Amino acid sequence: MEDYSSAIPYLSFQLNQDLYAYKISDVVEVIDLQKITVIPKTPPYIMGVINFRGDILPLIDIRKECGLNCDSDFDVDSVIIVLDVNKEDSENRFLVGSIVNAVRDVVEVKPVDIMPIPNFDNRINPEFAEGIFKHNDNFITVLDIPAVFSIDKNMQSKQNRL
Amino acid sequence: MMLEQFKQKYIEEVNDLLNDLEDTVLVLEQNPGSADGINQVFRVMHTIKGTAGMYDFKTVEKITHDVESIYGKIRDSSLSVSTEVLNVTLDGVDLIRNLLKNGESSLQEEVAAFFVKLAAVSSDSDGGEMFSPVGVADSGQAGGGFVTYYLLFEPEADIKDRGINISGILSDIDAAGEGVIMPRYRTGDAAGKYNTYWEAVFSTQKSYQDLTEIFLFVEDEVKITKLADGDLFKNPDFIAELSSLQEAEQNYFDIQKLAAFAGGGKNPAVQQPLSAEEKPVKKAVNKENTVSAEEKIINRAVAAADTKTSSVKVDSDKLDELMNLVSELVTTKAEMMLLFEKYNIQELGTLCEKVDRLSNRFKDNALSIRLVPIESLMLRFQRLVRDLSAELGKKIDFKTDGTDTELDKTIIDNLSVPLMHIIRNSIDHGIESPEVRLANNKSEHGLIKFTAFYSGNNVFIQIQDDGAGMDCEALRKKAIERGLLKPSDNPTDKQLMELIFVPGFSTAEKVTGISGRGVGMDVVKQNIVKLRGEIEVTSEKGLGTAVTIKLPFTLSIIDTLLVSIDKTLLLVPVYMIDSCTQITRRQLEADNGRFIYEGEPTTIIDLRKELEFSGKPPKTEHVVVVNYKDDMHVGLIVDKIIGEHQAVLKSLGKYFANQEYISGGSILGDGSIALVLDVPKLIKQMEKSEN
Repeated sequence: MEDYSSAIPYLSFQLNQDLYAYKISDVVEVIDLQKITVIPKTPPYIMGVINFRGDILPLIDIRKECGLNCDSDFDVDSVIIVLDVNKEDSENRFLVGSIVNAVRDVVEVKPVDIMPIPNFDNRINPEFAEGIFKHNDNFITVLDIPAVFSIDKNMQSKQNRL
Repeated sequence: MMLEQFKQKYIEEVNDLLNDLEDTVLVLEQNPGSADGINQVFRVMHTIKGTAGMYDFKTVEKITHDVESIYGKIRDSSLSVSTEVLNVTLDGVDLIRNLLKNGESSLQEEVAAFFVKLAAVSSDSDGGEMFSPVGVADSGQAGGGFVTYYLLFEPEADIKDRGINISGILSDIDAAGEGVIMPRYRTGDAAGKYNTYWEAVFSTQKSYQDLTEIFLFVEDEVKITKLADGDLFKNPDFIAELSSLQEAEQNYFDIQKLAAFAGGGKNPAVQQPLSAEEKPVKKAVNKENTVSAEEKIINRAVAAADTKTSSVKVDSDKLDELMNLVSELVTTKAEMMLLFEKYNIQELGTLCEKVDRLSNRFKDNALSIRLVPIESLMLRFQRLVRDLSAELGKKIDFKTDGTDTELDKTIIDNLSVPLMHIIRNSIDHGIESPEVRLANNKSEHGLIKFTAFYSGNNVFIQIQDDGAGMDCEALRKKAIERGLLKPSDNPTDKQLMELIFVPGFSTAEKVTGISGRGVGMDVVKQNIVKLRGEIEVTSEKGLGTAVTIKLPFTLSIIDTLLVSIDKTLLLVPVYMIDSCTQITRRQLEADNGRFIYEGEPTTIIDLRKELEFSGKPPKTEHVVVVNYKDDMHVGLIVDKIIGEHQAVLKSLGKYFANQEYISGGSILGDGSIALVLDVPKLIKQMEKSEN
């Protein structure tokens, strides 16, 4: 079982003006923005594929995937966080790139300090988030990686679109 | 955890051994007298037994032990190879496989039944004393399992030239039991003998057969004589006598003197005449000097088993990883080339060329590692033919040719099921029963021939039988019955044959447990197409049927044509392409969206529109004409044709599993990604929308 009193490291990053975090144990690497190959006829949240050390990775814009604010565009300072999704489940495990505006820092948080998403916060659908915590006067939303990158959900939303 | 890993390794190893063993049993069936075959079975059983106990596979240990005993008897000529023996051996093989897979606690009924069968086979020759009930260890002979042996090892002069490791043999003797080993040096001239020979006296719990195994390669140079049951070294008088004999510096020990202690030991051992026990190892081999053809096959199989020791088993994930690394290297090399072109440093250029050559060789090598001979499938098929023909009361010979033809491992893995199906069909529907064959002036024995060969960039596999063949008239009737043909249609024989690939189509008059349910040939075809292969059937009524499969060498690398639309790079497999030409929009519009190819109006697919590209088309575009289903052509319209590219195929991942037009990606020299077009799907999609 998880030990609720010891702190777990999170990687915080910026999407538009908001702060989010991935559990650092799921992060493989942070790489600079690179050439994106667009795949025709894919949903808008799939930006395309990238060459990650000889592997082809899908690059996902989670703002579009999770219905977040899409005001600002990605630019040359944007980075890609490579994530290892479903690490424990070899059947469904895969690598994916998540494009973000900037990576902030590594924050150690105790699980007890992560609060549920308050009802009034309509920036994100609670099903994509593990919770929210406060750090240096900022609120950081912890994303639920398997939920965000679930393939089933993609298929479903794809079907809805059709 | 560690133990589990070792256990897994052990299971893998045993499965390999069992495969070889099945092979041997099948050859033994052809030539029951083959001493090498018998020894091979014996050895495999023995090897499996040796480690089974360590991992607590008690039942496996017991099975192997008992089967080993049977072959021990056969070796000693007290039992002969019969169909029952071979059947029970194969049963044992299956049982061991299942036990290792499902755990020892499973299959108790089968195990019990097996031992009953085994006992029956064994008691053909005697009371079956070999078969102690499960759980009771084989205690060997009287005297607490100890036997005292005298051993004389007189190597031939050429022993070292034969690559035999004398010290290895000596340390094996030493490890076999407790006792003394005496080197003796020849003083005079001993014709053809090595300058040293060894005498040993020792007591051991090992069986006579275990001992003979130490001398597998020097059996003619070793004589083992049993001195007594029981451990004579427990008798101080014996030890005293032994050391006095050693000091006496005679040429040989006086065996009679040593054996005299047999009765006087602390363990009241059974006295046995010496001469009876003294026998050359592997009598059977010496008996047969003539080597038959089958014997040669076995020898080859044994030799193959020997060469296997120099190969390494590698996890296929590691091979995939190697392929990834290779393609990364190729990419890095291309980056380096770009750098050279930019700065034009001479030294760098030379270096680039070197790296280029090396990485090309590296790539070829990595690819070749993935190639597996088709031989690895044969065993399963031989077994299938044997078991099924027996069940159906047919007599069938299975001949193979070109089984050293190599294919990518992924292809081999996926071929097993479809090929099995085809062979099963041949056995069940193709080959007639012996009576029918005789009545039709055919040999009583049917023949199924499996041939594999290379041709160009492809591998062909052919399965032929000399059975009844397919009846085109019956196919036609059936097709009309099913509504697949109109009575007025007049299809060619070839078109009729194609019908067997239609789902649910079967002409077998009665459905057997084996085939005839009409699922099968359509699935076979699907599987082959998935491997980018083709399948064709030809048949002549009364003469037989031939199924020919054409396959690419490898799945992971294909020759493609690199084309582009806007900035997107696309790949079209070269084997599908017929030709390429230029075309303008105006021309297209003039021909009403059709394109004239070889005088025929040909359907085109405007990829720009189909794939929803937003940019404007260039003035002149290109048509890539692809061959689709025999003589149908489709033109794909692209912006530019860039050139050929040998593509290392990569999956795009689960996110794109539902992607309709792209089957994968490949990384180009400069690191950019090109997408492989799924042409058959594109065309299917197009046909759908046309309807």
